[in-house]
Amino acid sequence: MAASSPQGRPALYVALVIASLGAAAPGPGERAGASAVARVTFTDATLPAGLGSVVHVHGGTGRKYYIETVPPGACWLDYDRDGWQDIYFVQSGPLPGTPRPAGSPHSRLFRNTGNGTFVDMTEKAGVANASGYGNGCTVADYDNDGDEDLYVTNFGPSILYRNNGDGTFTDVTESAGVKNGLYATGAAWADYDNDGRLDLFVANYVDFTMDDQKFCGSVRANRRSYCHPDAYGGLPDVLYHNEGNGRFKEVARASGIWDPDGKGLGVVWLDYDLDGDQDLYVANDATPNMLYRNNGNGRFTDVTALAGVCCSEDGKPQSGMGVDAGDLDGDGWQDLFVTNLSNETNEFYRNLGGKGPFSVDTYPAGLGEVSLLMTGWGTDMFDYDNDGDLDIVVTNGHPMDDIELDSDIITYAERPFLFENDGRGRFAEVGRERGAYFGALDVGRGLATADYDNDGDVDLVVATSNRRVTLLRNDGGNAAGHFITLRLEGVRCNRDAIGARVTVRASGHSQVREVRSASSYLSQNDMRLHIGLGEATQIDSIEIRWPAKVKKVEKIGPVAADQFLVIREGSGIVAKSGPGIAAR
Amino acid sequence: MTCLGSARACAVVTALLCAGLSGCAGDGRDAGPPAPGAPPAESLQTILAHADAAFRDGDYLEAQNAYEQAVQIDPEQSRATTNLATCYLKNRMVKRAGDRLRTFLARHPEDAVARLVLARVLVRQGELAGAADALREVLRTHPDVVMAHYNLGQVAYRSRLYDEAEEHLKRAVELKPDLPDAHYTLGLTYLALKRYPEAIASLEKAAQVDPKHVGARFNLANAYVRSGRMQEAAKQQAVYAELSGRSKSQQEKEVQIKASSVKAIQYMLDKKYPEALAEYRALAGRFPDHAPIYSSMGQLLILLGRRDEAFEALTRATGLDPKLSDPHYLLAGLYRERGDQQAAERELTTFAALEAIPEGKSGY
Repeated sequence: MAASSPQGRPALYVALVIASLGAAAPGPGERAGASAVARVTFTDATLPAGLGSVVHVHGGTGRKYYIETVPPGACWLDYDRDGWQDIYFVQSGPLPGTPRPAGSPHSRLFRNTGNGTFVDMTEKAGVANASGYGNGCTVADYDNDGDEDLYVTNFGPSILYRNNGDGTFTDVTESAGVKNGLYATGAAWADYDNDGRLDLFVANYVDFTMDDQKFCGSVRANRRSYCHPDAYGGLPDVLYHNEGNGRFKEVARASGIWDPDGKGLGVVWLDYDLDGDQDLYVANDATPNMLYRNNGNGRFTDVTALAGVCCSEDGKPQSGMGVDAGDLDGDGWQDLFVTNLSNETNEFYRNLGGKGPFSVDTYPAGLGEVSLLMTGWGTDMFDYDNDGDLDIVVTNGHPMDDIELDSDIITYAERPFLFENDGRGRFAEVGRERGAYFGALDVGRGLATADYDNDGDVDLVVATSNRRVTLLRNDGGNAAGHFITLRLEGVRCNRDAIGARVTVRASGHSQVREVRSASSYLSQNDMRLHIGLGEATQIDSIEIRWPAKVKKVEKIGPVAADQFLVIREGSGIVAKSGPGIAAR
Repeated sequence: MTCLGSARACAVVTALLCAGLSGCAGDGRDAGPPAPGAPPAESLQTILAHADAAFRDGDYLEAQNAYEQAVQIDPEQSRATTNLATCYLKNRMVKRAGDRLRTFLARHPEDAVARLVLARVLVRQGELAGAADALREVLRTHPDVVMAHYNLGQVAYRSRLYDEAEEHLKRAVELKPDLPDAHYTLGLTYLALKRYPEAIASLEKAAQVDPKHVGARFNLANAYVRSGRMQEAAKQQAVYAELSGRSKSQQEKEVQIKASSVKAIQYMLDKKYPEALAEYRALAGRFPDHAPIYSSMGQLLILLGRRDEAFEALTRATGLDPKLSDPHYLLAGLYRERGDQQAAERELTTFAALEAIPEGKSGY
């Protein structure tokens, strides 16, 4: 809840929220105390926001087709450039090969009105993906024309929607050459060769087809269950190089990204070795995860073995689902966090300096024991309480809807996790203290973060399997600590500045963020960088390393905290606003 | 059986094996007089014999039902209780296993075997502190039980109690120098403590005892890199890649074979053993190096009374995959029938070691 309430919010609404916190919202001078942190709450705002009708449908008929367990994801984007984060929910709908009459479930785009509500704009925008069995999505301005385009991954041909800039989109999949056609799951944009144009990586999953339905489950009980991914072979991923003429060229194998047996789900681009180009990490399901180092010449080297980020601590491949990258321990290096299946634990790979192996620090960081019986999917590193470090959120839910017939300690629906960082990369699970949703059971899949109400703290959306989505509004994060939110605008580099590295220094404390498109699980966060500042009311400097062939670093500051800034490459701050007002 | 510690430890190890296996002679308590009003001892013995046989055949549901009957007749039966809890674990009823053992231990707090199985339950539930307490309690009364030291060392390592982990893992390798996982976890502990030379020594020992130890190779490479020994790291990475690649393809093959085994399993359920055997033989023709097929064939051949062929199939299974537990157990029975007690004990020991606290397995 912002000290100064968002524009357009009725006074009664603001009063109700304050009442729900149990105390009046503190003023700016009262932030960052322990009691303020304790008051941070995630409030289920799904219904008041107008998202109550968004229900995922996997189309299952009881035959337990493998594809039913995987989706969906969700993506935040500002498709109409009004400064408010809109949202796209991926739908799966009837199974492939079954009729799709008019009115069948389809993917949906919601416009953020700026007053806490959303309006369905799917029909006008033309992004229903009506014939596809949707899995995930990723967003970026791939044609550098100033608006966000949308790529939707499907089981079968995927779709690229180009934003026309007038509230409508055009399906340009064929002309762009990015159909893929395989079982696409995670996808993410980045300019891997720093030529100023965004390229697209798409993870492919398994070689399942609707005609290749294997029997898995209990023969004795004549009970069919969902298969484990080991029942199917993997598929190679694809990397589309942006040729700059609206067309892409598939270059995965030629560039060194080649894992024909991988079963890709979560993907994230990051600069793990701080050499100024984008490296790639792929979370694979039951095959080793992969880390590709960008050689800086358009080619990649598989450094998974050297980095030791393939597997569990015991060197065994796990069921990688979602992934995020960020500096969890405040040493300036990008760490990795990967979600996995029950009985595997999620994994925290601590980056020890970009050259040698990461350290598998799951248990030492306090992230192991608690996740042992849970199946994690979506995950994001974000500073929910604005205290200046990255916390972790995880959605959970087993893939098998009948797992309870096989186990008395693992359930299908599971509660999500919120891990609070102590600032040194050690975590405590605090979800239940931060809102009812974190104590309730759900079948989580996709997860994405955004400050959708522009009030200075980060909210969440959870996309669930065969259930209603949940929008969780962060109430009190902005009172717990100061913040700065940055939107970078590339001029010579790609327009979204994806790949930019930002270092914010305040009160002797440095924080590093990278601009990226998709991460988590089949989902994408608000691309703006939200940085919690704790008690600092002023930022000493903001240093930006823009993603370009010739490395260029721009330094800005000092600037006051609690602002939304737009920083343009070469021009510094070009727009600013306070909480509740959209900076465009 | 070769005992590793004192006579008391030997008794506990024997009991632990029995807990994992069933079919062993009971302890003193099992031989006690029936409770007033209980059915005649013969009926209890008949039920136990049936339970043990079902357990031997790998039919854990049937064994569970029989053990439940047994403990209903005599709730103080230690062996039946621990075996029942083991059946629950096999049948993924972890909570029920814990409940059963806790109730029993409330009446028999000195029962080390039940407490060891409870520790296993707690690890499966992710309750490491409780598991550690249970294992410490076992060691308080039976200080030389190697598996208690090993498991406590592992639990302590997971709980970041590195001093305690080091203490118990060192004791475990003293008691049983050929236990690769104890050397391995000791190596992990030293890695966590950044004591790289000691980590390398322990991991090298683990790899020496078990050259196919994937985790040891993986972490040895890691430890070499951290020590700047890049050439040795590269060598270990190559070994790891080769081993893990093989084990991964093996896993995938297992699932594919499982999917192709439906008919054989149905024949088994219908007790049409010759037809089931024919199915498995056909599968063995397609996947000649897949150990579980030979294990299933061995089991069927025993049921068909063709013991020499069963012995051959099971020996092949253990040769292809020494870590597959069931054929070791079945082989122990065959060795016993042949009068080779030493070989039977060896197989039982191997089986029990493989049945120690399991690594996390898929929830599927």
